[in-house]
Formats: sequence, structure tokens, C-alpha cells
Amino acid sequence: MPELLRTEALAKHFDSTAGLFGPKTVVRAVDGVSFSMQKGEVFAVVGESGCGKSTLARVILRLTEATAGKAWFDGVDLFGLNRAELKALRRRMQVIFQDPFASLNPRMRILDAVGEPLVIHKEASGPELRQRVYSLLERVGLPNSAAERYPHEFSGGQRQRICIARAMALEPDLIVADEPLSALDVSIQAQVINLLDDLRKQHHLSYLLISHDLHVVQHFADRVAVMYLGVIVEEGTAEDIFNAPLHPYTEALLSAVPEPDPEKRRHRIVLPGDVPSPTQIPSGCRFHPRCPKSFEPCDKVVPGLIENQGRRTACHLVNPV
Amino acid sequence: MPKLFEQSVFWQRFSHNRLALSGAAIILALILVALLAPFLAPYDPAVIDRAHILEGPNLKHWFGTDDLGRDLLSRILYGTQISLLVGCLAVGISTLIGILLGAVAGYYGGWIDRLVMWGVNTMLAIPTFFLILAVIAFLDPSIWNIMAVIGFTSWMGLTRLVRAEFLSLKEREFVLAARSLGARDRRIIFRHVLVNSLAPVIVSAILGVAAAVLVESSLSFLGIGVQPPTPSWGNILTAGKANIEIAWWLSVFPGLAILVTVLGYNLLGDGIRDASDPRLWSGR
Repeated sequence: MPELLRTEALAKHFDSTAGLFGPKTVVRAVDGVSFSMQKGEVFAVVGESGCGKSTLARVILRLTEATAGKAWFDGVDLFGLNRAELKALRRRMQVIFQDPFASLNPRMRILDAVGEPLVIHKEASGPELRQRVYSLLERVGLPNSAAERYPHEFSGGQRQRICIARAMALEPDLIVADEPLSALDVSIQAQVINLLDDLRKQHHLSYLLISHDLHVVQHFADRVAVMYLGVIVEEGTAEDIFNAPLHPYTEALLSAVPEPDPEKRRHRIVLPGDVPSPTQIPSGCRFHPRCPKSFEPCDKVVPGLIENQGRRTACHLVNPV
Repeated sequence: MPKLFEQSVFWQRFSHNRLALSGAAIILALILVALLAPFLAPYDPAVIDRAHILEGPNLKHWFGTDDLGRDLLSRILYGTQISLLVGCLAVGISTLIGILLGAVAGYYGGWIDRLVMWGVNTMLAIPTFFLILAVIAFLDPSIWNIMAVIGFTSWMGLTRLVRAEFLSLKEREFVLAARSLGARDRRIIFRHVLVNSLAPVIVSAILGVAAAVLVESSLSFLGIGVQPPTPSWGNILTAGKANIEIAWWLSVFPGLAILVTVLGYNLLGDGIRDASDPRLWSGR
């Protein structure tokens, strides 16, 4: 399969100053992320909240400027585009956000919201626009009458369908889904994930799925990258990661997933302490202060993300110094 | 048409607020009086009648006459036109400036934001009324100049308000979604952010009209606002001050007119704010 998206040492730092003369601190939200995803793939980025996965999505979508690093979309340098080129590229890359209540303009009818991408890219207007919106609504299972209504008249699941319809309007190649399910009820989650899966099959879509819900990732993703404090610590196929996690952090994450079958229940690994502040990144391996298996080189030597048999791991246990 | 408020809830709450309704009634009445002044006024407000100087309220002159024998009721009715015109146009100017500067500062941030906020703080540091006095001293004291000066010296509060709305709204996900669709800044500013910040802007503008009416009256009272013989509540009060010991009606009636007008705008503005702010809906 050809490559769709690749990033190299992507970083996003936020400067913040405490008060007028206070010390300047740098929040290293994303701190050197390299990965590559293929066409037609569901690539999931998982990690605790605050690990930088949403910032990574925003940098790739060019909603915020990267501090360092490079990214290519279908071979095109994402950060070397002029305005017109960027606008043209945006057609191919769409987004679905977590909170369906915040991602629709409360003062816009659904017709205008779902039709907006078509208007912006001058694809349709007037009666044709209306027809296109109707067919998009139909694709996500909403009646035509929805077009005349306002967002507050819909439930969370319906709104997320509307957002998906808007993201589909320009027939993109990639949809970046930033926690698309976590604001929804469990019963609605299943419907939305099935809808996303159907759309993927019908339209040859790829998803960059940002999530902390490992259940969803396990069933939906082809490949998984685990992020911790702004870097990828482990990456591989969903099967490998879920069946045989190599990085101690991945192990701990997976052990926290509730397992209904008591026979299969794993031993729960409870990590000590909290995720360190991204303003003060620990030396050596970022995970060593909380790692149950940390040993001699961990607090001094930064482990590289080393590829071995189709998966990458950044851990001294797996790749001895 | 974009919806400004959650309409059903808004009207329900607004129509249950007696104070807000009376404010709306006052403003509506003022607009009618201003439009119909030529038909309502019993006399020509400029005609001098030396035989009836400083008469108290009576059947022929309900509000009495002034020191030149002019009918006070007619002068106050015509004064409504001035106060409405000055209030609305001055606030129109300041609202336009406030929205433009606030939107640009809040949306783009960076040095534009710093420049605008520097301007706002500088203007706020200067006592506005004395600034107006100083500027008017150099200009012709015509009603148009007064409107412009009031407008150009009262945009700071609205700029801050609009900037704050933009700062919080521009990070909302529907705005990010529009950006990732490839929408241009102009479209995002007007179609996504501004329409969602209109309710507080309208409230602030209505309250601003009350302030502008007061400033105009003060300037006219000091003799550097609307010039006689054009009747304005402020310059009628000037005549009232000179005769306050022998003709109370010259001070009381224009004073009441100003009071009722300012009260009306404030009640209306407060009512709209209460009805449109979901944080105040907890009561019911």
C-alpha cells in the first residue's frame, strides 16, 4: 500500500511566561514524533490525556504551526505550501472533533453547516447544494428535514453524524478523528463507529484516529502508536500491540482496560505518580520515574524508537544499550 | 437568517420581565414622539412670544413657557429627536469601531492585538468628558460634530468586549472545523465568530445609547453642545438654571425627560441581557 502521511521529528512547543517578568517556560506538547501511515489504513494514536496526541492532530491539520519537523501528505510537503495550495490540500484532509456540541456553529442551519465545505470550495450552490447536502445527510442516516434545523435540536450522536457528513462533503482521503466517540453514550458509540467503518469501505478513506479508548482502538485500528509525554514509545499493528505489548507503558495502559472475562483478566499494573509536566521532561527515558521495570541506563540514556520485525519500540529492555 | 438568541426561551423570559417590557415601551414611545413631533407639538418650538414669558404650567401651555415665551412642551418633544439621533448615531460609530478593532485584535492576536489594546488603555486613561470638551472647543459645536466626538471617544468598552468574545470563540471546535475546511478569515470572522457574539454586543450598544444621551445633554447644558435655538434637553436646562428660583418647570420637565430616557435604555438593555444569558436562567 502506498504511503499517505509521514511525519519526521514533528514538534510543537508552547512558550509561556509566568507574569510580566516571570521565568519563561516551554511546554513541549509534541516533542519529536515520526510515523508513517498508509492509504486505506486506520492509524490510531493512543495515550493518556495531556500526552500531546490532540496537538499532534492539530499540527498535521495545520490548525497550529509546528515548531520543528516535517510532514508530507501524499508526497506533498505540508509545511511548504502557499495559501492556495493549502486550501486545495484541505479538501483531502478533514477533521471530526470530540465534542459534537462544540463542533457545530449554534447559529447555522444544518444545510449551511454541511454545505459550507461545498460553498468554500465553490463546488455547488443553490438547488444543487441542497441536493448534495441531502445525499450527504442520507449517507450518515439523517432525514432531509434535518437540513432546515439548528444544531441544538439534535442529540449528541446525531450531531456527530452531522459532523461526519460535513467532513465527507469534499470526499477527502484522510479523516483525522480526534476522540470522535468519547463524548457519546456507549450505545451511540457503536453506531458511529459502524458508520465510520462503512464510510471507509465505501469511499477508500483513511483515518488518523486519536483516542484514549483502547477498546475502540482494538476493534477499529489497523496500526497503533502509543504516545507518552509528546513522543511515541511504541508502534505496531493493533494485533501485536494488544496481544504482546513490549513497552512497560503500553503494558500498564492495556492492564487498565476492563476485561469482562475473569479468566482472561490480566494483573493490573498501577503506575506510581502522575504524568510529569511537559514543561519538565525527565532525563533519559521520559517514562523512567514511573516505570516499574526501570534499571540502570534508563535515567541517563534516551532510548531510540527502534524498528524490529515490523514494530517500533523505545525501551532499553527491548533494545539493550 | 442567523438566529441571535434561542428565540423561544428568549421571548418567554423577556416577556415575563416587567421592567424590561416597560423599558421597551419607553423606547418605543420615544421613537414615536421623535417621528411625530411636528404633529404632536402644539406650538412651533422656535416662536418667541413676549406676552407669555415664564408662565407656569396651564391649559394653553401644559409644561409652561420659557424665558422667551416659547412653549416648553413643544421644545421637549422636538428635543426627543436630538437625543435619539445623537444617541443612536454616536453609538453606531462606537459600535462599528469596537467590532472592527475588537474582532481584528481578538482574532489575529500578536502585535495587532497589542497595538489595539494599547490604544484602548490609552483612551481609557484619559478622562473622556474632558477629552470631549477639548475636542469640541476646536470644532464647530454642531450636532454632527457632537455625535462624531461621542462616538470616537466611547468605543473602548465594546472593543474589549468583542475582543474577549473572539478570544474565547476562535478556539471553539466549530471555528477550527471551518478553518480545516479551508474557510478564509473573513468568512470565519463574520459567519462563525461575530454572529455568536452579537447578543452581548447588542446589550452593550443599548446601554451605550443611555450614556451617549447623558453626554449630549451635559455638553448642551454647558453650552458647547447643540446650540440654541435648536431645542435640546440639555440647553433647555441651561435656561432652567438661570431661572430656577422663579420657574421650576424649566428644570423639572427636561430633567424628567432625560431621566425617563436613560432609564428606558438601561431597563431594555438589562432585560435583553438577562433574557439572552443562559447563565442567568437558573431561576426557572
